Parts: sequence; structure tokens; C-alpha cells
Amino acid sequence: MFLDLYRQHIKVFLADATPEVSDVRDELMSILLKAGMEVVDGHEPISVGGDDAMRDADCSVHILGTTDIYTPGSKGYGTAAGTQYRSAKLLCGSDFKMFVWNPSSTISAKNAYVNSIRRDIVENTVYIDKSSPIVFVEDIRNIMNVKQTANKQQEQTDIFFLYNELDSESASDIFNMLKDFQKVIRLGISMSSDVDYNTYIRQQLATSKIGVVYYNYAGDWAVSFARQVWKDTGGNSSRTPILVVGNNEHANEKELSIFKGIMECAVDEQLRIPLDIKVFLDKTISKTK
Amino acid sequence: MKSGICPYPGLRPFTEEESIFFKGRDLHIRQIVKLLEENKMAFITGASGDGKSSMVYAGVVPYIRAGFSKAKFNSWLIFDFKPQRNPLASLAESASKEMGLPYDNTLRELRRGFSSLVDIYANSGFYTEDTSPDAANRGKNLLIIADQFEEVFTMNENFHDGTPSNESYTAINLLLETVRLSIARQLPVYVIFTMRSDYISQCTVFKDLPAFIAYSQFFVPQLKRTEIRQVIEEPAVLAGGSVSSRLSEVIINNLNSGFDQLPVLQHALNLLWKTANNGEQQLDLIHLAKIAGIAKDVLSDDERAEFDRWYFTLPEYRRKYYENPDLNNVLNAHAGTLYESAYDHFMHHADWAEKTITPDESKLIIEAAFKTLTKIDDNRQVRNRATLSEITGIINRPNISNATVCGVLNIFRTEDNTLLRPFSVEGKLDTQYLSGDTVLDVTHEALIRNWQLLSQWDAEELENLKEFSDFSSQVQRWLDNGRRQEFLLASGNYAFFNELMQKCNPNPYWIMKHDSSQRPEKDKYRAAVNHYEHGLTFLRQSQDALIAEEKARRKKLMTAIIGLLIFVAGLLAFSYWAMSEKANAVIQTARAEQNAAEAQAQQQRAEQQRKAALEAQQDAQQQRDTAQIMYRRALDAKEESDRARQQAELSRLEALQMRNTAEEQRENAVRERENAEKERQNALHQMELTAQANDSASRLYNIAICNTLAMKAKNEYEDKTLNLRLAKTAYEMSMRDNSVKQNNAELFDAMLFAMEQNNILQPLPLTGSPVRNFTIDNAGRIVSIADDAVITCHKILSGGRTAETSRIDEFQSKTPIENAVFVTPSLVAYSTKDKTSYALGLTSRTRAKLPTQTDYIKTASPAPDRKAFAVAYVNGVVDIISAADINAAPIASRDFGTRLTDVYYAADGNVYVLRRDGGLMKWNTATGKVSEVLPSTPGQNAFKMAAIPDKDLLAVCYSGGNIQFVNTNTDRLADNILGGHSKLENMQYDPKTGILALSSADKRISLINTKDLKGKALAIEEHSLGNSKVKSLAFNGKGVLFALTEDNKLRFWDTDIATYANTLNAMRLKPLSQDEWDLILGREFSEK
Repeated sequence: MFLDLYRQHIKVFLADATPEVSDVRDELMSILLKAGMEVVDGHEPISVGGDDAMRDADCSVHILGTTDIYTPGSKGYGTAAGTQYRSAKLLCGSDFKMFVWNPSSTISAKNAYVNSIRRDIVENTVYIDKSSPIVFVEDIRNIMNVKQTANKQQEQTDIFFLYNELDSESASDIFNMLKDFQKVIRLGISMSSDVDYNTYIRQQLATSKIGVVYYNYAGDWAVSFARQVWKDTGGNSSRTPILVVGNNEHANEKELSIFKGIMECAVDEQLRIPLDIKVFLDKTISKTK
Repeated sequence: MKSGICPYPGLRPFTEEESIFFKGRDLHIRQIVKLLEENKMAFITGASGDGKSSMVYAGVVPYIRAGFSKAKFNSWLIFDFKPQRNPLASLAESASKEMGLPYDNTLRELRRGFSSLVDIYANSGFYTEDTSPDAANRGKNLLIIADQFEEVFTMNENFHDGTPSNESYTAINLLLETVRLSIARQLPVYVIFTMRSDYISQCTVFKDLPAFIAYSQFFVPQLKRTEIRQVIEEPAVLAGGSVSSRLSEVIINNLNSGFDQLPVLQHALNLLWKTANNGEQQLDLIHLAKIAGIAKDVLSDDERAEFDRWYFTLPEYRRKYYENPDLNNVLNAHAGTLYESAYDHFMHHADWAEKTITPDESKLIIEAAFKTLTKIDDNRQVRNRATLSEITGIINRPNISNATVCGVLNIFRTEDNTLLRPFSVEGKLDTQYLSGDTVLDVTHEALIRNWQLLSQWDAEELENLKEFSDFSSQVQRWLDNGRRQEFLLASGNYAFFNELMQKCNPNPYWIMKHDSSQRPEKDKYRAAVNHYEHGLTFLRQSQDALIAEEKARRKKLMTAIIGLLIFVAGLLAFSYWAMSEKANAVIQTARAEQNAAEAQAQQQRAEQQRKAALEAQQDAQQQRDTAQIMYRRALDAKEESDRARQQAELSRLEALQMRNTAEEQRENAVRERENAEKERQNALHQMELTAQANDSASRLYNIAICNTLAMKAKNEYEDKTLNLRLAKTAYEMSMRDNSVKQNNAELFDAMLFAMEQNNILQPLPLTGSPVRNFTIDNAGRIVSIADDAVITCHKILSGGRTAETSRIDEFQSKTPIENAVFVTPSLVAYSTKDKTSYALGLTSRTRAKLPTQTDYIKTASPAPDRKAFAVAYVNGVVDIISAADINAAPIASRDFGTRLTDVYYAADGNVYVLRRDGGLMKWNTATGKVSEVLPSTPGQNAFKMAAIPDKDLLAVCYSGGNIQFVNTNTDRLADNILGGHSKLENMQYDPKTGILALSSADKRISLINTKDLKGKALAIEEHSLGNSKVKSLAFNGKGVLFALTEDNKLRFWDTDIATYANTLNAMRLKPLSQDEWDLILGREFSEK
């Protein structure tokens, strides 16, 4: 349920701010606490950079005022706000996110330094210029609560062989031929099954060298299925390439034409399909080397 | 691998084929599928433009087809339809097409309502009760999708005056009964509705529909920030491209919530992808600026220059769209550009159309078409489908045919634009040339709300419609009253409506478009023609009647005027005669009366004159008597007056004489006063000169005493507190007068000497092997590297003590270190005696062997963002190394071919390299270009550089003791001062205090205040350095300078003399006694 999203504990390092936004900072601290977050106050004299306290938090929050805290040599560069901003930039990563809040949209229009901060936004840095602190804190909660689905460690394999139960007979022949030479895991999809195929396939593909979607009768299914799997596993940026292969007894090249330029497809005789799969596997392995 | 496909569809919804790029709704798709599995029905509602159709076609349908939902059969039969102008016919058309049945039969069957739809499916070959694998292969689950269900309410043919049409009622009866039977009989039949939520209240007109909505409603949630990010970034990744994080953040921040959020976003992303060379480049801010979605101010200098170059190639009409750049403006700019360039496109692409129109007529066609394709429904701007013929009919010009209209509108239908349906495909003539009965439709209502010109047209159209409706009422009243003349238009109304007809130019097609009745199209057209002709007749007859009325009125007026003129002339003649007679009579009467009156008056005057003469005689006698008396009195007065006059003349002469005397005396007094004032001014000036002389003398005296005390404080005494007291007294003397520099070098040195004498300033004890180099970290701790490469960290405790807090000895080296440099407090680079060089990360505790060079590391400098650092070797090589991956090969490398002494990694990728011969080079690591900033200095060597970033200066010190300051913005020499009298070896800058510290070969440290480069520098003399040379310097960020000396000791000093004065004050030292004054300064000083 979506309510689960609000149950995670978030520890926020609230960085020091320049004097003109100190009132905004006080208000934000109250709202963060009301939102159930733990707040580490960067205004306390923990250390100049506050690195240790920051490292201990899940994310940091930096409020922009009219004083430039970012550009080297500027007025606020030597302040605690500036130092903490730079420390947070060094810490940014998958385990630590940095939220930069510009509560006044009029600042961005006039201050070149805010534009330079916007240009400098990289992954795991979030820049928000909505004036409402409630909207800002909601965004923090939303971003920090994105669940990284823990990938269940599946078995390492060369080929993850997928087909519809309708084609189980011909698929078994191919599987039996492949398994003598390669490590293969197979999965027959049945519409009436209760299995959460979506999750399982995603996890198993991540630990396979290639994925193969095979079909004979179930052409309609194979096209939709391959497309959905390709999308869920990262598309062109996925590390596991997918081969869609049809038995030419019932399959034709035309129905696979929509995959042109997206994934590898083949229509072949039943007996030659294991060979097609092996060639595809070898090609994939040689590429990764 | 690039797929070559644009992963963003633009304004149109995602299709099932494009489902691979549909992201951000995974959770919602699963929730809808679950609703279908459990309830057999999902009623999806939401705001306009929140992606309901996309979620069904690109989300739910591919998901269930892929087998990720539980169903009876392995494949699916899908009836999808939009209600359009007849929901039952649309449903029948889809069902017959998918099942291969004749349309007429299907429609006839479905008209019976209730179980008709289920019966058609259950009796077809797609459904079987058989559970064998072969049967399961043949069978298909049925999904019915009623998309854009709000058309049941927006189309007049379906819903008029609060009543649904019979076809609408039957279609809804069929769909709801199908759900009911599917549940009851466990059939694999499912129904999805999508509808805009603002029409939900109108659903109550269908009896059972509200209950079914309550049973299965899914209200589309607004996307959260992370989901919008997925929508932006993931399709690009899937297609092998990428989106910069900063672009995502800008788009998310600028995206309005509510109406049109997703269409505006998808449209902008589609243009971004194309602008970024079809995803070959990473989608970034400059691409957003090029589609008028963000101001160029946000871009970097280089990007702004590129943008300006591109912008000035644009035609003038496009530039106006860049005046208010915004995400919502992207669609406005796109549609506006198409509007302006449609004529050219038509002339070059529509070979099948006659080219008989002008550019203005092309714009007129577009305006008429979009006015026809939109309408105002209950104060909402909505789409209004229309055929090509209807549009041509409304334009109604002999030179404009269907082909012309189609050709002009084609630019809005191309694959790149897709603002109008149906879309055309490059090279497919049948998609480009449309027949007259082809229905055109605006792709998304977001276009209506965001294209400013279209909004303006709609407002004009609404105004015209209101006025025409008023006109129609007048026509109808005229018709209802037997076309009687009294009901024709009066002149004012005639002028108004005549102008309306010119402006609005209505014709039967236009009237038909606004006919909201439910009658058939033919009847509508006939009625519109009648209406139009009646209107014209009414207007013409009104005009004729007004002309006839005007003529009659003029004739009457002329007759009346002539009669009136005759009458007036007669009247005037008679009046003239009568007036003349009357005037003569009056004159005669008046004359007679006047004569009588005059006679009487003369009689009265004669009597009065007689009386007056008598009285005058009496008066004359009295006056004569009085005059004689007066004469005598006057004689007396005259005599007296003569006497007084003589006396007054004497007095006047006397007074005149006295006045002259007084005037002379006054002039004398003024001259005296002026002289006195001059003398007073002279006296004051003399006093001021005296006071200034006294002040100067006093100041000189203070300076002399202060300096003397400072010098005396540097002597050695038996009582060592005397040094402290003398230094303190000297400081107090300096505080008395602002003209004495309190931070003067003599005083500073005296303070240090006195403190050293009393063991207040002691070197800091460090444990471990001899230290090679050190630095101070952000927390003020001393981080040092010893000759054997052991790293220690010391915390400074009160009382000049230290405590070792951590130690890294796993990289201890058997070969001693030749040189070591702290790049940052957590990164050290060093070379051992065998010329092997390493980089050691202290936080990660990793060590990397740097690329083998033939010489030692001389120095290193971090990039301002700390992501990389530059290492300079003695032999002239400089390598740029990634701080994140010190094991990797250098990012850049260059051999300068001469001995190097220092390196400075400046912002924007420039590296300044100092040659031993004094030459300063600038190396642009991005382009590889090297330029000379300072030439070599014959006879002098250069040893160190220090950046002064807050002043954009780079200081370079030389063996002759001078320092050159280079401006890093212009790379020109900014200043040149003498920093010492012997070879300058080390240099450090403290941004907090602005102090530049230099150590020289004569065992001395100079502290130069960069705010006053010409001022006298403070100095830390040899005695404070334990008579040793300085190996390295560092500031702790709080104004305290640390120095590692060759005797392997670490010393530190505050650079502000007031700190030492505070220490002395805190010691409560007794003041100098009279004897001490006499002894040390001499009696003469002490007495003064």
C-alpha cells in the first residue's frame, strides 16, 4: 500500500544557512520534525564542515539565500553554510542525497550564483524552487522513500529460457538440447498461474548472460511479453540482451518487425533454434570481454 | 545501442507499440489490473491530460497480453472504441471488426441491449468451456475499452438538454449488463472505461452507472516527483540515450501541477529529443532553451554563446516566442511556428493541390479550421471533431477546395508534429491527401489551452456566436409574426447586425456547426440553409424598409419646410407694417406729453429761482460779515506762521550738521572692527599651528616610546617577566594613539620574543619519525607524513600539548621519502628516494602507484571541485589525476621540458605551471593549449606560487625576494612588491585574514597583508624559528600560521597581535615601576 511509503525513518542533516534565510530555516526545521524526520542541526558547532554528522545522515538540506555560498571567492564561500554545501557535494551518492532549496523564486531570476548551482546539479542532487516548505518536505519524503527493491539473489546462469505453456512441448525439446552444453534455467508462462512472473523474471534475468523468449503457437503473447520484459529490465541499457526466437512452423518475421533496432529477433526451423541461441550467447560473451 | 525511435510520443497518447517507453505508472497499472481481476471492471477517471488513455493502451493492455495477470485464456480479444457521435455504432464497429462479423448484423443484435454483447462473444469461436490445452490456445479473453467516455456528454447527438440519446442509453446498458453477467457466469470478460472526472456528476442520468462507478472506480493519482523523474529519464535510457540530472530538476520544478501536466511534459520531451539530434546528445539545458522552455540566463557562458549563435539564425517571427520562455510556452511556440510556416510547407509538399492561395489565405484556413475543431462547452474549451468538407464549407471561398485545406493543415499532422489527427506519414500519399469526409480532430485539448492564438480565436468565435444568436432571435420573431414590417430591424440594430455579418461571415456550414439539436445531419444542413437565407432576407428587407422609410421622411420634411417658409415670410411682412404704424403713434403721443411736461417744469423752475435769489441775497450778506472776521484772523495767523517757519529752518540746519558728524563716526567704527577681525583670525591660525605641532610632537613621542619599549623588550633580563611587561606597555602605548600602527613589525617581534623568553610560545611536540610535510584539516588537526611514509594525525590540546588521534602505518616505506605534498587534508602524494611516486587516500586508506616518471614529485594542486588534482614532477612533467580513482591512468599529461617548481589547478580546467627559470605557463587541460603568462627572469629563480582566489590573483615568489602578482582573469601582471631580502622559499595564503606568509632563506617569515600590499609586513624573526629554515607552512583557517622547521619542530603563531595582547592582559602583569622606567628608558622619558 502507498501508506507504507511514509513509515521509513529519515535522518536529515539541516545545513547552516546565511542570516537572511535563518527564519526560513527555523520554520523548515519544525516542519521536518512534524513530518516525522530526525533532524541533525548543522548550525551547532559540531565542526567546521560537519562531515561526520553529515555522513551519519541519509540526506542533507541546504537553503539558498541572497548570499552566494557556492562560487569560490564569493562572500559566503567561507561560511559554515558554504563549507557544508561543498562537503555534501563530496558525499553525494546512492546512500546520500543532497536537497537544495531555493524558497524564493525571485532570487533565481537575479542571482547568477543560483543559476550556476542549477547548472551544477548532478545525480543524487535535488534542486527544488517551490516556495512552500510543505511541498519541499513532501518531495524529500517522496524521494527518500523510494524503495530499492532488494533483488532476491537468483541462480547464476548462462541462458534464461522463457516460453508460453502452450508451446511447452517444443520448448522442452530445445531446453533438452541446450542443457547439455550450457547452464539453462527455463520458465513456462501460464496465464492461469498465481506466480508473480514480473518480479521473478526481472531478478533472474539480472543474473543470466542472455534471455531467450521462444514461441511457436503463442505469437501474440510472445510479442507483448518480450516487449514488457525488455522494458522492465532496462531496455537498451540492460546488461542482459534478449533474443526473441520463433519456430517458423507458425511464426513469421513480420510480427517481429516492431522489434527492429530494439532487440535481436529470429524465426527459424525448430532444429536450428538451439544453434541460434548458442550463437547469440557466444556473441554476447565475446562482446562483454 | 540507439534504437532510432523517439521514446516520447509528444501530444498524442502512447500506443500499445510504444508501451516499452511508457514509464512512471507501474504501481497504478498493477492496481488497475487487480481491480479487473477482482471486479471485472475498472472505471478510470482523472483530470484532462493525466494520461488515462496512455495508461490503458500502453500500460494495462501490454501487461495483460504479456501474461502478467491471471486469466482463463492465453490471448486477448480487445474491443476498443470512443463514443464519438453514436456510442452504440462505435461499439458495434469495433466488435464486428475484431470478431470478423458483418457490421449491420452486429449493430442489429446490439440494439437489443442487455446480454447481446455477451451472447455474441459466448457464441463465437473465441470462447469455450473446454479446458484442454488446445482449447486454451484457441480461446481469447475479452477486454472492452470505452475510451474518452465523456464524449457521451460532450456530443450533442449523444446528450442534449440533460437527456441521453437512445443509442447512448443502449450502449451503457450493454456494457453494464456485460459486467454483471461476467461476474455471475465467471466469464473472462472485462470492461474498462476512461472518463474525465469533471463529467462524473452527469453519470447520474444513467440509472445503474453510479453504482458501478462506486464499485470499480480508479481515480488516476497525480505523479510524484520520483515518478515524474522516471517519465523524463527512463524512456531515454531505454532508447539508449540520457537526460542530464540538472535538466530533469529544471523540468520538474517548472512543471505546473494539475491540467495538462503530462501532455505539456511529453510534448516538450519529444521536441527535446529531436533537438538533441534524436538522442545522440545527452538531453540538457541548452536543448530546453532552444525550444523556448527556459531563459538562456541559466546556461553557462559557453552554452549561452552557442545559443546566441543559433538564435540569430532564426527568422524574425520565431524569435518572439523566446521572449517569455517557459515549459508551457513550448507548445505555444511550436504551434505558432507551424502556423507561420504552413504556407511554405503547403507550397513545397502538397503536389496534388492547386496553389491558388496567398499566405494570408493560408492563415485564414488555419484559423477557420481550428475554430471549427474547438468549441466552448459549459465554459470549457473542448475538441469538436469535424470533417474536412465541413471546414472547407465554413471557409466558403471559391478558390479554396478540400485539397487546399488539407494541404495547408498537413503541417500540423506530420509525424514530427502530430497536433491534428489523423496523422500523416512521410511518403504515404493516402495519409497525406484526405477525402472530404475524413474526420479531423485536435490531438489533445492541451493544445487548445496552451496555444495563445487559438485561445484568442475561440474568444472571438464565442463573441460572434452570442451576437449571431441575438440576430437569430430577431429573425425568428419576424418570421413568427408573418414577416410584418414592424418586426424588421430599426436603424441602430441594422447597423450592428450588418457589421456582425461582415465580421463573422456566417454560412450554412458555420450555422450547422453550432446547431446543438439531435436531428440528422441532412436536416441540420437544410435548417442551416433556411436559417441563413432567412437571415439574409431579414437583413435585406430591413435595409429596404429603412431606405423607404427614410425617403418618405425626407419628402414630408421638404413639404413642411416650404409651407413653413411661406408662412414665415407673410408673417414677417405684416409684422413689419404693423410695427411701423404703432411706432409712429407712440412717437406723436410721447412728443405731446413731453411738451406739456416741459411747460410745467419751466413754471416750477421760475418760482424756485425767485426763492433761491432771495435766499442767496441773505447768504451773501452773512458771508460778507464772516469774511471780514476771517480776514482779520488770517492776518494774525500769517504773522505767527512766519515766525515759526524761521525757527524751523534754523533747527533743520542744525540737525543736518549733526547727522554728517555721526555718519563720519560710524564709518570709522566699521574700519576699526574689520581690522580687529583680521587680527583675531591671525591669532586663531597661529593657535592651530601650535596645536598641530604639539600633536605631532606628542605622536612622535608616543612612537618613539612605543618603539623604544619594543626594542627594550627584545633584550634579555634577569627578570624575564620584564620582557612581557615592556611588550605589554609598548602595546598599550600604541593603543593610545591611532596613528601608531598597532600591528607594527617591531611590536609584533617584541611580543613574540617576550613570550618565547617566558616559554609561552613553545614548539608543538609530535610523535613518530621525522616529519617530511604536514597540513591542517578542517577540524584543526595536524596531519603529517613522516620520512618513512607513516601518517599521523594530532589533535591540539590546551597548553600547547598535542595528542595523537590516529595513525596510518600500513604503507610504511623502507625507502625514505624524498618529497611529499598534501594535495588535500585527505590526499597526499609523495616520492621515495628511488623515484617511485604514490598517491595515498587517507579516508579510503588506499594507495596508488602514480605513473612512473624519471623524477620526484615536486608539488601538487587540487582542482577547485576536488574531483581531480595536478601533480608536477621535477623533470617538467605534469599529470592530471582523478581523485575518485587514483589508480586510473592520468586524465591528461604534459611534458614542459624544463624543471618545474610549482603548479596551481585553477577553475575552468586551467593549470598554471611555474618553471624554475621564473616563467609562468598556463595549460588548458581541455584543449591542450599552453600559453606563457610570465616570461623567464634571467638571474632569478622562482620557487613558489600561492593563489589569492578572492582577489583573482596568483602570487609568484622569486629568489631575489620579490613577489609578482598575476591577475588570473586577464593573465596580466597586476603588482610587484619586495617580499624579503633573500631567496623566498615557501608561500601560503590565508583567505580568512587575507595574510600572505612567506618564508625566506634568511630564516625569516614575512606576513604580508594583501589588503595593503605596499604596507610594512609583519615578520617572524630567526629567533622565533629556533634559528632553523622553514620546510613548509600552513594556515588553520582561523588566522593561525603553522611552520615545520628543519629542526623537525612544528611552531605556530597567531597573525593578529591583539591575540598576544589579550594573553598578556590575562596574565595580570604588574606595571613598570618608576625605577624600571628610569633604568630602561632614562629619567627624561619617564618624567615626560
